Amino acid sequence: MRQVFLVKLSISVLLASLLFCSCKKDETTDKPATPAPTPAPTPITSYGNLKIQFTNYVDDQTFVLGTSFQNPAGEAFTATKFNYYISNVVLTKSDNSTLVVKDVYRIVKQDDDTSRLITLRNIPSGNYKSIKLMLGIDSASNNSGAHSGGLDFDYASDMFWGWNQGYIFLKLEGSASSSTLTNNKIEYHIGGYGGVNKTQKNYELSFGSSQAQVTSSTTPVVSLKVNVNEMFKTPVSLSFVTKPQQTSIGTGAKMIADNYADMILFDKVVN
Amino acid sequence: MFYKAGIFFFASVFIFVSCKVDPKISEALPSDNLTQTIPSGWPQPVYQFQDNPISEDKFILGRAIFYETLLSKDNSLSCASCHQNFTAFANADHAISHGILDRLGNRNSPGLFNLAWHPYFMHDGGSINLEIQPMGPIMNPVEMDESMTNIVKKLQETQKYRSLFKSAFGDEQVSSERILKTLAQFMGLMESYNSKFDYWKRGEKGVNLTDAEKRGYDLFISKCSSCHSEPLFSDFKFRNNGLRVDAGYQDSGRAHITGMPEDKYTFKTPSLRNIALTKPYMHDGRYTSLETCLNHYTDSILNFENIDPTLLKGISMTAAEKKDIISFLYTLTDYEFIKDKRFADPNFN
Repeated sequence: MRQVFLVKLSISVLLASLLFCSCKKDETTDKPATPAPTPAPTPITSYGNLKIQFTNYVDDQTFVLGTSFQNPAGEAFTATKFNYYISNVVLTKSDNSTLVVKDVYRIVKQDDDTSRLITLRNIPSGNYKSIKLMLGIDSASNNSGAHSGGLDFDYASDMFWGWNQGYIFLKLEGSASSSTLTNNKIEYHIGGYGGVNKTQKNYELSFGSSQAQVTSSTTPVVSLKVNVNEMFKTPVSLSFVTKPQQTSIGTGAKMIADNYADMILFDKVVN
Repeated sequence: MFYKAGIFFFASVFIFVSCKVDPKISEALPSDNLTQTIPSGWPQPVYQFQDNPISEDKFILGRAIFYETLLSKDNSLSCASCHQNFTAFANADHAISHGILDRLGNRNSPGLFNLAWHPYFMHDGGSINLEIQPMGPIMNPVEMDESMTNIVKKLQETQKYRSLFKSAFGDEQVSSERILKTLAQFMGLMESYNSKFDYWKRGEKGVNLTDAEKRGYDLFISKCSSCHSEPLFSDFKFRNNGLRVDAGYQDSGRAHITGMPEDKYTFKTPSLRNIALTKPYMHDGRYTSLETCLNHYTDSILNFENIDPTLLKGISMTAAEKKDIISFLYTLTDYEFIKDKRFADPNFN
């Protein structure tokens, strides 16, 4: 034990003296400083936070649970639940450098105001011009065992399939008079993380002429609009009569996912 | 306490020994330890604990959870209710699973052993990770019908689990991640490789097969092993083995998971290790004896959608050959595994 300690100690001393030597040498060099061919990356001097605010809409109306809206086919519906998973957030600075924000797995729930405001912490100060995010969970995180945080099954208890194991990426539940199911139910549980019928969708949203200015003292809020009706619009127009329900992986889920591929839009940044 | 110390002692000895001697010899030792053993000639396991380092306290916690009825909605069932130690963790005489409030499932509860080698779980492969598999029976409305949120809450409320979590993780916090990781330690270490057949194959302890068993083994190799391949006695592929679809269950098997027509009515090839203990047989437990199973392959294979090409004409076996094959199948019972105290119900130890 003692010997190991001594060896470690001498290694540290050696390393320290090496460092010291190299510093010394630079200082005493009297050659004129030559400009570096590429500028060193700007050192990160401080960190701040950035918030993402999700607001759900039905076309141009603010979405509310328990209120009647119309789908693109003109059929009335009332929702009781609307949840979706957001993950894999990447921010792009005005100099085009990118920041992968790690371990963001959050369920945005219409019935929980706080869930619709996601705070990204420890973001390097700077001006950001766009955001990338995923609706759903990447394949690797679906497969890699039990997790804590945003993938914890306590947190995700409502957004996971036990029988066909994987996270549910989006849930819309409610009723529509045109639905032929019992109690005029409509029910969409969309998931499937691999293969031809995968349902994760990536969004790349530019802030236009605005920038999110992150500093240690100011927290910009990036507002995003999510249009529920995009689930039923393009490329495939869906009616509650023919498609009142989708609760398993497959071509039906993929069809709805292809529809919601343009569901999330940039709204504004408030610095 | 003595038992704990014993495990630790054996584990230390094992680690010491495995450093010193030819690994082939140590691999064949009975597993009195808490390390993953890869028997000689076996493939690398799928689940290797690299993100879930084994400790004695975590294993003990995982075992307590496996035998814990708080996992079910009405606190009546544990994993062990349908996976009984004495049947190699299958469910004796239940064709299909019996959940809370006597709710019936549509599939047979399989034996649990060598799970670390399985690329996926459940008869339809609906689970592909050992750590996450328990979410299936836990959430299934006809099995435990419980949410992980409630389980975390229920365990957190008991002094027993607060102290077990503290021993395993350093603090009393119960979490789904900790529950599932420790369950995976307990289930992942359930290894079965000490049947009579294994001893004979490894040339150990002077174990020999009888003439009938040897004839059965030769027949098995030529007639069964293309699917039930050694050393795990399964190729873990999905196949339609020609069982008439039960009109009540209408079970589409693998297609239930993939939605693909080519997977309709296919089910995962089960391992035949410990087969003498795990009756009834087939994915819905429709056959109660090995004789009926073999009779199916000679007499009653139904040629329909996605039937496995190797079974189109059935398998030819005479009555005498079937007897020999069954004699051989009985040599696959691992009594050391089912008597291994590490896996026994801690509430009765």
